[in-house]
Amino acid sequence: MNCSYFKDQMLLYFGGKYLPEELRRHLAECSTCRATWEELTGVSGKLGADDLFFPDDVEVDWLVSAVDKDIEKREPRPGRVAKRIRQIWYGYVPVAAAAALALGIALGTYIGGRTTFDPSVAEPAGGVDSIASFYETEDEDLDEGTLGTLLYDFTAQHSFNASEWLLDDLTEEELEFLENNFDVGDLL
Amino acid sequence: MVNADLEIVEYLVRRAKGGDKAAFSRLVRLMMKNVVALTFRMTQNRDSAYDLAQETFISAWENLRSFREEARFKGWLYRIASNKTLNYLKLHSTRQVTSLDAVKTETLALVSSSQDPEHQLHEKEMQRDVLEFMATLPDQQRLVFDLRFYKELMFEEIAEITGKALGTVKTHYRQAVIKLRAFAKQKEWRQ
Repeated sequence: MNCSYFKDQMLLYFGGKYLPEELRRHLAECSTCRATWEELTGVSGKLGADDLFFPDDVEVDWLVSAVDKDIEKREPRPGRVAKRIRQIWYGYVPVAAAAALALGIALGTYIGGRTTFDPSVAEPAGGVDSIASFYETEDEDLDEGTLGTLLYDFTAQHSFNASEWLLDDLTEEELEFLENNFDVGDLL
Repeated sequence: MVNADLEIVEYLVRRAKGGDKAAFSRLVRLMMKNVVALTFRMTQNRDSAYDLAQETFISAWENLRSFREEARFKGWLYRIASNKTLNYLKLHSTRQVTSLDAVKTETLALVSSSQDPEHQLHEKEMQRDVLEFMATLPDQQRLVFDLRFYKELMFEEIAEITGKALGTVKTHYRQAVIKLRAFAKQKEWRQ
């Protein structure tokens, strides 16, 4: 590398604390470049340092107090994450809340409709059929809990005469199975 | 800034991000002189330098929660100050023709750190010479020169602060130093 390369390096490293090894070696060997570097170092000394332009403590007090007063009236702007949360909160949450409300009303109406079932209008066959079909297909798996559920469901829908309808529609085998396996009391 | 100072700054930045105004006030006190020195050398006007420094800290406070790298607070602050100063200089482009008399007046506003009158006079002369030289540089060159020479930042950091390419930053600095050599010869500066 020739002197022009190192002259360029000297311009870049002017004022810096660190000198690259290759430049250091070249300065030790080349008197022309060393003279240039010494000249630059002399100029650097004339520029002082950062603290040559520092305001004094009284002025700093005044400036700090002015900033304090100003920020007292302000709050920091929310960060990016907070901004995103806020966007979601104000953008999507009302829509989700409205959808949830509509769903709630629809479900409420549906469930309300089911609980006001009128046995005099509707046929009770579904409950009986379901028990019968259970016997036909899964009588080995039919346990006390399942039967209880079916009975409860049926009686809830069909009021007090439900047991009569149930008994009327049960086959001999079904009655026998109930008697043998469950404590049905006065039901039969 | 030594490591202990950096740790204090990091701690204060974390507190301030949580809304602690007292912690932010301590940060302002720690960094105010550095920011004023930059804005003053750039604008060569004391009142503008003080206004810009205050605006820098207020902007930093408002945007603190978006700032993630506590360890690089100083660089971030310099970036805000640099942007504000360059905008100010664009609006007040006539400042380029600052007369030496005006520079003399401005330097009087800065109080010397020394009690010795002779030393004080020497410092005033240095300040005046520096400001006179800085006034010969275009805004971007002056900013790069200031950040490199006075703030002792690396070129990579300066590129980040100024938003310029590394090569451009180095070119600005080279040109500024070439001008400085010419200025020194003209002023007959000797070691």
